[in-house]
Amino acid sequence: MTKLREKLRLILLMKCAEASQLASESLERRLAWYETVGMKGHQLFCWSCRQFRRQILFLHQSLQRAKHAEKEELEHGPVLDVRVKERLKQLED
Amino acid sequence: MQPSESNSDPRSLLSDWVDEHADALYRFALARVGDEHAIEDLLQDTYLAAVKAYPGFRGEASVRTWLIAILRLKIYDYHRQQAKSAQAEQRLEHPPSFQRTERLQAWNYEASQTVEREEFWKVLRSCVSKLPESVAKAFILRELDGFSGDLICNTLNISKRNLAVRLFRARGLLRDCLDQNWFDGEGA
Repeated sequence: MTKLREKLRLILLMKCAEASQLASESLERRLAWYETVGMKGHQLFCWSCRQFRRQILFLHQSLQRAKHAEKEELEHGPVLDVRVKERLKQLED
Repeated sequence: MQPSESNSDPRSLLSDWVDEHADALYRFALARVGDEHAIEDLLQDTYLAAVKAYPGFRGEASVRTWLIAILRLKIYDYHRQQAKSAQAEQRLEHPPSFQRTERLQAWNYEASQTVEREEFWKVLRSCVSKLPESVAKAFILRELDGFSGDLICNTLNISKRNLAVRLFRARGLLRDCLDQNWFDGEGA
């Protein structure tokens, strides 16, 4: 019963803090339907939460791009001195 | 899932790891750390940590990705010690403040995707380096190394719930930082 009440509250009366936390969590997991409905509904009326969600998505996508570029940068370029490599192979605690 | 080189003795793997990945690790470090001696130390620390941590490594990421992640955190600690960026951190210590105070400004995304790109990455990187340590590591492993939630929770020894909170805080702080240092004055 309380569970249903909590769902209803999230759908109808979600707070900014919850809506933005869920915006972040939507990048980590699939949200429950009532979380999605509550978040979207809240954002419909809340300019700042709408911006917040867009902006962290932008951040996420930017970093994905950076990650890609980074992988390529590792493939070509200067090589490590052989002597340093030998020392690395001799490592002891 | 075991990695292909599922040898029981990590010591015998060390030599292979150096042959296969040392150049990539070196390039990665070179782009982030200026000093060659510091780089050698960082590589040593990375390989030592990898040898120690290997029994717990279950092949959820490739060896390369895993080594890079260790190195990245070592570099993070290195910069931290170098800079002792106390003031920068204080400014960022507060939780995201958008709920109560002012209306968020819209961002002009176009500006960041075109000409000023290089500059944008610089700002973004500096914002990441200013995150408080408690949330930075989780965020770095998640967004830059692409680790799964489970793997991060194991690595940092935190709960799923705690990870979600840390990531949220990191994203909020980065948003604030970009808002102030990049989009300020450009937005509508």
